[in-house]
Amino acid sequence: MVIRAMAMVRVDGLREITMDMRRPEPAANVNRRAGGFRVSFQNRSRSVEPIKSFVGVTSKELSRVESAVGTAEAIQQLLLIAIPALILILVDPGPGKRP
Amino acid sequence: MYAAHFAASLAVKGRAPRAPLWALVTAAFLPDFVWIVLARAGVEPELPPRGFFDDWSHSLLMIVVTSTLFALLFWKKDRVVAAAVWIAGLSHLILDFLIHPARLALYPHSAIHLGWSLWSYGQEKSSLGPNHYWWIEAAFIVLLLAVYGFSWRRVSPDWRIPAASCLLVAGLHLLSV
Repeated sequence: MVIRAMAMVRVDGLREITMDMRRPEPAANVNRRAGGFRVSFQNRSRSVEPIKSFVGVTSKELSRVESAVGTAEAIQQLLLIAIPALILILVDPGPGKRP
Repeated sequence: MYAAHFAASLAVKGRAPRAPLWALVTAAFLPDFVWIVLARAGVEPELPPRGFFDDWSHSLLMIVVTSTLFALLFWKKDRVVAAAVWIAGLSHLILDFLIHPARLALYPHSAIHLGWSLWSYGQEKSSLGPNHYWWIEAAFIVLLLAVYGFSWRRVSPDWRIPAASCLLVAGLHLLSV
């Protein structure tokens, strides 16, 4: 299953991190907002170090982002299965109710 | 695989019409449900430094165990339904056997891994647009939906319901291009 999940966490009044992960090749898009400017950076190295150095976040702050991404990803994965499943069940309700 | 698991549920539904579709879909996605929970809990990481690991949700032994336990819930009510649910659960193993981010372990933390190692090949772009993975999954979807469609024809001449189900599954796969 190829999943894409995004989460945004406000680190403080000036910095926001948006992490965009795509399995199986995760990438992180980090946006830094400061003084009205938005700077984007795409990390394809499978390492969090470039993100930390680019935005200037600590490991603890970054782990908050990763945790938020993980939750968003899990919810998205469940919905990606549940919504089509629900539609299929409504379309084919079962033997007793089939025309 | 994603849409192929829905197609597998429908194929089993076609052969065992008494089996409720919700149970078949749940069984077909059971290893993924377990994986979502375990990945969130950090038991099955997918990123560095620990790398991709899904032995607890996707090893041969665990898929057989979870499928069997889930199927047993239907054993008292209807044994045919229980068998259908069990097969739907095992279909996950068959589909992931071909292409999966990592080859499937025999049991959690086993050194023995099964399955074809087509993941790298699957990620390569094909000359027809989508990558090879997409085409391989498409082939399985066509095969499984054909089983569903032909099985349906034996019980009802009405083609609208299977056509709608097939369109939905095909649409899901097209969306993943």
